[in-house]
Amino acid sequence: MLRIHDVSSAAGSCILENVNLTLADGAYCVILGSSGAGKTVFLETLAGRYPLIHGTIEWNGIELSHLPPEKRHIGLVYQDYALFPHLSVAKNIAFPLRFSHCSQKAKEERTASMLDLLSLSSVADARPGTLSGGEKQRVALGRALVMDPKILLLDEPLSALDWATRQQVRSMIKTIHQDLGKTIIHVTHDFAEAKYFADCMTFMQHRTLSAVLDQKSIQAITEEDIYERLRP
Amino acid sequence: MLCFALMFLLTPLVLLLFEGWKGMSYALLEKEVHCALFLSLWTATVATILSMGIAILVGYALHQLVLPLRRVLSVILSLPMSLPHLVSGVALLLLYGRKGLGDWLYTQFRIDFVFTQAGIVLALVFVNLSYAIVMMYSGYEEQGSHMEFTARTLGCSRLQAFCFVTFPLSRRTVASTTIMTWSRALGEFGAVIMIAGTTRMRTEILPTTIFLNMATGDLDIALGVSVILILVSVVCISLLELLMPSTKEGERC
Repeated sequence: MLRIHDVSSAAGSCILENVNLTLADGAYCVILGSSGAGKTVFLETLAGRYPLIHGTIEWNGIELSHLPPEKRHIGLVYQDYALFPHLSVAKNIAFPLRFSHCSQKAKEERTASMLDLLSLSSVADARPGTLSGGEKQRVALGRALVMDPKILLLDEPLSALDWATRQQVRSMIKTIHQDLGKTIIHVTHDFAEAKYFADCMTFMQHRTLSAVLDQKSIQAITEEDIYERLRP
Repeated sequence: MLCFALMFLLTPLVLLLFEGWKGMSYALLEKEVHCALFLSLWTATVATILSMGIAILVGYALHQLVLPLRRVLSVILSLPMSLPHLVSGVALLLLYGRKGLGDWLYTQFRIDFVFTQAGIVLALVFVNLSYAIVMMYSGYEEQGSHMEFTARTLGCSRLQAFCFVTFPLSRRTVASTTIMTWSRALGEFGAVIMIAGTTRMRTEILPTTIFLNMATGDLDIALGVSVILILVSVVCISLLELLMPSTKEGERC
């Protein structure tokens, strides 16, 4: 279980205040918020970029708040993918395995299976700069998943994609969630996208999160409600 | 206005190239010029290696600091860059001369910077280090910390993230800063003459060769060496231009 209790953090002028969220293992939580609401800062705070002013982040009773990013085992996929342009697709995906203790053979097999899972084998030797948006997004997902993270954070993963690629990537994310059972926190400003993915949904308003809605409440919510909640 | 600027900047150089071209072949036959060329090349290279080694790390350390400490330190470290180089030389002479730290360095380690080739390297590092640090710092700032943080979420320590991501992504900045630092070091005169002097064939680098030969009226050598320095600058600027991408890396298809 992920338990975020009374978390406040600051990233320059963007300050998160008293954020609370509790998620069961394997939950898919979507956070809806307008641009500049602090969604990315929230994800980066979870991943360890900004120190907490107060509050705690716990994963199954283990306190994560004071751990450096590399010890948290939280995967983060950015909207702009943040792929390493000096490495090939295969090396981007294998990047987290450089720092694991498994054998070279196991690393190669894991990389190959991830390339296969995401249908990236044909572009394994290409540089990220030559890929399409959908391919870049799949590489970013593969790179985050290959290290088997406890939690996967997705920062508007579909917003930079065209319609057709968006359908392809969103069904892929859904499949990955069902197959691997990871706890996922997905931030977006798109209600349709949120409704498609969410087991539970919450809103980022005034630098904090509102109460969590369950599946039943999500189905009942209307676009007018969303507009009211996201209005600055 | 552009024509005026081009004419103002290029006319003296073209004239110098035209006048010095014949002198260059004459200068290249002179043993004095050979010594000065060799000394210039190795002192500039050693000073560039030292400056870059420090600048890569100090620029990164600055980039990691929080505001306003980062800004204050950045201004302090840039200060030597804005000093007249003769003043830098005087300051070095005071510190490393026999009445300063130099006496202790000489008695303890037999290191002497005054009127020696080591003094040339010291002067070149002193006047170029600020420049190299500012260039590297700007490069890291431009790159941001987005990629580095991503690397850390993927299991890298801070050091590993620097070695595997931040530093490789700064390779263009490293290359351009290295070229410019080396080029500046090759042409340095003011600070060098204050601490290392102008002893012929011993502490004589290419700019001091020009100075000495102009002073003694041997214009052919002075102009010839000037042409050599201009050609080196042209090569450096061309290399720099090649390193600068015309479009941003990672262009999408």
